[in-house]
Amino acid sequence: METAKENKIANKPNKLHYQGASAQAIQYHYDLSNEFYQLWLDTTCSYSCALWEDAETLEEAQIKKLDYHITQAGAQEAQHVLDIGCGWGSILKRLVNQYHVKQAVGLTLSQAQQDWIATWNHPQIDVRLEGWAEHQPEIPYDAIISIGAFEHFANTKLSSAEKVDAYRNFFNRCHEWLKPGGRISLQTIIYENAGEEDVNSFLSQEIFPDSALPRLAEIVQAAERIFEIDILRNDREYYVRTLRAWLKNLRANRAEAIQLVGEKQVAAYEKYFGIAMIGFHSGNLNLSRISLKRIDAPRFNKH
Amino acid sequence: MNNQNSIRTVTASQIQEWIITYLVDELDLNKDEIDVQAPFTDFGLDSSTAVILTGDLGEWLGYDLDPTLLLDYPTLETLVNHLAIENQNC
Repeated sequence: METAKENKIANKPNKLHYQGASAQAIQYHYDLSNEFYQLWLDTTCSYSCALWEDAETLEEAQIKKLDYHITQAGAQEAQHVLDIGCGWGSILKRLVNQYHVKQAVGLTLSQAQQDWIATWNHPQIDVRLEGWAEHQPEIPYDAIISIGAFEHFANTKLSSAEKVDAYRNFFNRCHEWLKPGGRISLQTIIYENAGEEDVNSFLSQEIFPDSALPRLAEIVQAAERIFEIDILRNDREYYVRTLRAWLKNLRANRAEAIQLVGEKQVAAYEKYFGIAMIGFHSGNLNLSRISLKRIDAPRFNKH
Repeated sequence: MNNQNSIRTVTASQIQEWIITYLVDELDLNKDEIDVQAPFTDFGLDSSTAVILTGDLGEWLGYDLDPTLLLDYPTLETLVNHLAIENQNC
């Protein structure tokens, strides 16, 4: 049984070499305009694939997605939960308001997102402008959730082996931060029947610069022997449906969107949604939701 | 693209003519190179062009088309048949 370790994390110097997308690349995309994103996202401002199942509206499907991850991470009524890549705070808000979580910590590299969440002045929500590699929590987490951020954890210059190393660093950090028995609920886009060489250059250069998507095998390899994969579900057709809803909303609010960000950006987003829809519908891309359980006594040196 | 446009009633041959003209212009093809039963990918049509094609075709027809349409109807013949039936029901 771990005792002292449960309550405090060793304060180590941070020597990690972060190999994901730069803060500048993140801000290039996510700091475009909060008002623009609000025009076509649902009211929770959830900017990732929804979980449609029986849901009829985008908002219902996004709430199902949030609830799925909260449940898979075992975060209900927890003391201390981390959301890595917290976006505009949809999970953080739901954790403290609906799931009685005492303290929800959100990490983002987007200044606009941090500013947005900070305006809530919620005493149980702590949003930080920092990446996972810089994060040094004082006390361990009960659960970790990361939705639509893993896509940015490796930059485009890395080989597959280097990507696995970068992801391994991430999972090692999560392992250090989690209490025994803790879980991660992860959602990410992956390459399915495609590789980096097949990715549409418009998407990789103009929409999401500096980010290389993972392959499922790379994630599995990176987590191996420190996390047990509990449940994996792939939901690419749900991303087609989510993107279709965003496209419909954007078209319905086109005039206002042009006023906010200009016609060129609006056209670029319409094109990005369309290309991504084709990517998911064709099976070139997939959307993975992975529930991982911490292996509390790894049988080898995890570093 | 523009929901204020009125819906254009068209025949299958008009739709086919529109798409062929589009492919000839965009992909620099000769008209006689276009086989109505060949997959669009044979003409070098990529996802960016498919998105723009469905956007422009939707604008011409007066209603939005799904960007994934060319995956579900991957040849000119199947696409035109689908669109002609849809157009009749508008």
